[in-house]
Amino acid sequence: MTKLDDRDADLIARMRTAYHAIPADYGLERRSRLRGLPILLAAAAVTLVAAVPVIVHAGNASAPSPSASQGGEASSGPNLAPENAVDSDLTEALFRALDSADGMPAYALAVDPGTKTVNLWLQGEAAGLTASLSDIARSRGFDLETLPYPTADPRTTEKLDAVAERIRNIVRANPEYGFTTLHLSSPTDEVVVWRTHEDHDLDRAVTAAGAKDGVQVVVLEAPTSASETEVLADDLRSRNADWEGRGFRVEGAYPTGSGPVVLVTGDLAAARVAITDSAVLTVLKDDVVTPNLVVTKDEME
Amino acid sequence: MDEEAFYGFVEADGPRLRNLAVALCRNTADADDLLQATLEVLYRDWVKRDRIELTYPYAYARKSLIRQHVSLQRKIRCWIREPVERVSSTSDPSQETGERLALFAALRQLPPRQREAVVLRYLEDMSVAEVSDLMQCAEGNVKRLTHDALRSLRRSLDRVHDPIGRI
Repeated sequence: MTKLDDRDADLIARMRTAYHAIPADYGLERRSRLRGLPILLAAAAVTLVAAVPVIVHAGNASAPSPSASQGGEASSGPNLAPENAVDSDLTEALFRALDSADGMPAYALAVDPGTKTVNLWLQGEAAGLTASLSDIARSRGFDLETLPYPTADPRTTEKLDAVAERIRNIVRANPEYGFTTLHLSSPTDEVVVWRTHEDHDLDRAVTAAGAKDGVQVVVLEAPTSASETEVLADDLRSRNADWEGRGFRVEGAYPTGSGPVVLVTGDLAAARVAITDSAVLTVLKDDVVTPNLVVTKDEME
Repeated sequence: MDEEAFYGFVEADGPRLRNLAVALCRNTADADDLLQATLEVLYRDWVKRDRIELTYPYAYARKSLIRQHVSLQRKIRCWIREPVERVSSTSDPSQETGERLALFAALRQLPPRQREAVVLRYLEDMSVAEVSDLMQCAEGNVKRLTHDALRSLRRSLDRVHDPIGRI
């Protein structure tokens, strides 16, 4: 391993500065999908909201992380000067407006009481929403400044999509390849393919699929489809209380060359609809190269 | 058990822990779940041990969070394709926020192991040996992962300052 060169050192310094400028994260209580200890985090969040001058909030699960224009190391603590106290009514009003927006756009929000500015990163065009937020801010003596939300470069996305589709076709035509996942990485112009077993023909085929568009295809060793199926089966079985209300039970799942097979008892038609619609399978169906998921009767029933 | 002390810890170090969770996870919802699970474990330990071993709770919580994350990565092996996000310009007065958005967006594009390695090694200031222990892999692997991660991050983050791009 070579020593860090100057460029790496500069990069790390930049990353560290950004990383350690920790936002006062209002979203800790508001957005988390808390399963327990809600009081604990709520108490912490309430304290944070009351104490810190800058609030940033991410709008949805796929949005970039919350961040803030608050500088300095975490250990230096927030600026607690009274004149920098956040107008909690303002932030509440802004969040309410954002939460009620159609389609729940991704957003990040930073309130700077020092300059009386609200910075808003908002995904997509939402002139009406922006105007409404601006009115809310202005009514409390703040200016709203909108900033471009991080977005994909369409040229890169299209290129990667084309390569991904080519790779999907290779997999569909050759289910024995046993791909499990496919990941597109636009900033690095790479398509990452995870495969379940070593196959040089496969590596060559997918690499060539990327080369046509000048996209690097990185082939990595994926977990076995058996273990992935096990995770899937566990996840589905854990929902049996819910499934039983719909007339069926999931008994298990096993891997095949063309995808996992889920074994159910009870109402097969209802199971096919419910399981295919469930979140975990949406992931498998749309985002992972797992060609077919079959729901079938458990013969042991 | 000093419950107040636990609440105090969460108030003081909750944001730092969440920052780490967001850096390790691919989205904020997963980060919140990871943080929540970590705090649950920490709370139980706090009760059980009465802070005997928690003289430096942040380090303990950090280790717990990372172990949970590593463990979770082994169970959840599906990658979700997400829209790629990039800050197209980082003009004042929000440059710092832009940098943060760009950093976390770039981190999210890394494979999980690379992300873990680079976050722990360079953002959490852990030694190669510590990272190797937490990630349960050889030190050589940690070095390789951080090297690869830095290479990818440099390409991603350099482009943030090049609005035209080099596509």
